[in-house]
Amino acid sequence: MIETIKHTIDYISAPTISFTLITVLFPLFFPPTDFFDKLNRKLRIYKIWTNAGGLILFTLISIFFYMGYTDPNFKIILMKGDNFPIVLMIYTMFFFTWYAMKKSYINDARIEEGKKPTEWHDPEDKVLVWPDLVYIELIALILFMVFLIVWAILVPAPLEEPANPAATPNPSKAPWYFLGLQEMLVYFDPWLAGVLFPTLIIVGMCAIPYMDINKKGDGYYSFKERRVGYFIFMYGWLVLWIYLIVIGTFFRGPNWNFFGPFEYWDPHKLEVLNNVNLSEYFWVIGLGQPLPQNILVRESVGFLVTGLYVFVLPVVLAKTILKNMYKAYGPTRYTFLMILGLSMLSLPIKMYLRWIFNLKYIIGIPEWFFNI
Amino acid sequence: MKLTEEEKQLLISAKDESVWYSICDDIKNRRNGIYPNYLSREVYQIYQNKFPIDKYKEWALLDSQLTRKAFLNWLSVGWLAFAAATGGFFTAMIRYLFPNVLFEPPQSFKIGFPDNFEAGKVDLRFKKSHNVWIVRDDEKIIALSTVCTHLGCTPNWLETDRKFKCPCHGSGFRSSGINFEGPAPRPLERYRIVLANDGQILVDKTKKFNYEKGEWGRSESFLKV
Repeated sequence: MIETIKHTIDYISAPTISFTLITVLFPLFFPPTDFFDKLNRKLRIYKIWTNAGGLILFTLISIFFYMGYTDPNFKIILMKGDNFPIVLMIYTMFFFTWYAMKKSYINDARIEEGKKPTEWHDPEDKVLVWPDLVYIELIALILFMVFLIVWAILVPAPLEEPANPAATPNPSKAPWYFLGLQEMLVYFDPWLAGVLFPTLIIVGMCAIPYMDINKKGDGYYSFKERRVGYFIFMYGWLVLWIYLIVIGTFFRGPNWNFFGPFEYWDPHKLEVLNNVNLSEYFWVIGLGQPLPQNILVRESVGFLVTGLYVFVLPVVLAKTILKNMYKAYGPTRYTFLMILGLSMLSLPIKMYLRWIFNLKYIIGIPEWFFNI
Repeated sequence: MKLTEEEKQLLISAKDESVWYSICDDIKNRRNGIYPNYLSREVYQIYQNKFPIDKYKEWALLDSQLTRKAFLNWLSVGWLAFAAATGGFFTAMIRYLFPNVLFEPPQSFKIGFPDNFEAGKVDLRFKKSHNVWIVRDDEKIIALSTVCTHLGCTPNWLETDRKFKCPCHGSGFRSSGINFEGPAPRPLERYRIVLANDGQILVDKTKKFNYEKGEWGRSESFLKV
């Protein structure tokens, strides 16, 4: 019985399956449109954001980790000092998401009835920084220091042998908070996944207050009044960052191969991949001729596809589906939002292209260190 | 309370500075010894009109000691000294980056005779000491760099799968160095490999041959056997 469950979890945790499942189910949990909202109500998914739902969520995660603790293979990963913060992160992340959604749903129901949000009754008078805030901060600081000291005493630092440039540990993992980035690097050139995307993430987060023209949901929890923004942000945060960290931590083994959490980390696991650039697909497989000598001719298809995606697609969207958005946001905000949104969307697109077509690079010019 | 007209006249008609100060003390005493800001400003204005500051001999003396030109001269000397000191510091810093003795293996080295290498084998003996794999196939011997072209980790040679596999992001290379899986954008680099006068193989890491630049066909990028 338990073995079957473990095998099932191993099977569905393969990124092709689990990533697809999460992406498909995501709009049901955070419905961005009326259609998904109806489905959400019909399936009663919103009940997760009640006390009972939260308790069930907590129990499920705990059962999963308990199963991991009793499993010889998963236990090795789980008991590594590096991975302790990730277990903590999973609990806290679920808790805060649940908490915010619970508060939002209460407020949404109140607003629907014509009442004010619960935060409306919060006292408006101000308290002093000193001593009111600083005392709380001091106590929080002391408690956290105690926690860190206890942690440092109980769990020895996961130090490895002295660094040796000739022998990279296998698998070689980044610090836990960078594992999402490392997972991105599997699909992109280092210049993109290591430099451009992190910059865009930081710039994009700084830009949120300037991009957001929705005046609702200001000062109180609310989901329905800003559901599209909520959905997009939470997809980027929970799936494209947190879930990639979980993949990098629990599901990546020797040779950066994929392993289910309960699977034995076999360093000789064979995964046959033969990654091909778009240029080879077009010239060699499609037209049956050798790659052209001229680099620009060789990569013309890649440039065309990228150009369509970056320059034509936003214009077409502005004229059709996103007409109202374009009108409301204006050309500058719209362009900036599109740059950020399309870059974010390029990650799942590239992942699927790799999984389905073994596609390596859309534009691949190693001569100029320019690969997309 | 501001100065009264009478007090003002008194201050203006003060004979010398000692009289001035006694008048000031009177003014203070009349206000319970308090001498607030606005009052002091008013008094000081009268003081400045009455005893102009440039009347002081000390100032005149200072002028003769340090003219504008002398000051600028001193300033330039100071700046030059500062620039020289920092320049020297940075020169020393940069010099420090090039040590007298380098404890690293030489960039070109002999690895033995061609017979030491079996055909169809990837030789791992020089990985740790020189970061080089020696690969011999039926017709040639090549020297491959052990640096992954994706992000610079050191791949492992998997004999059963006959491929180099990088543990960081899963890039895979064939024994020829050609990249075929994972994100690595270009093949592993090859080093210059020639026969030395004594018949041993000489690997020279200062000269690289990159596949994407079409350099693998050049002489010295491989050793015919």
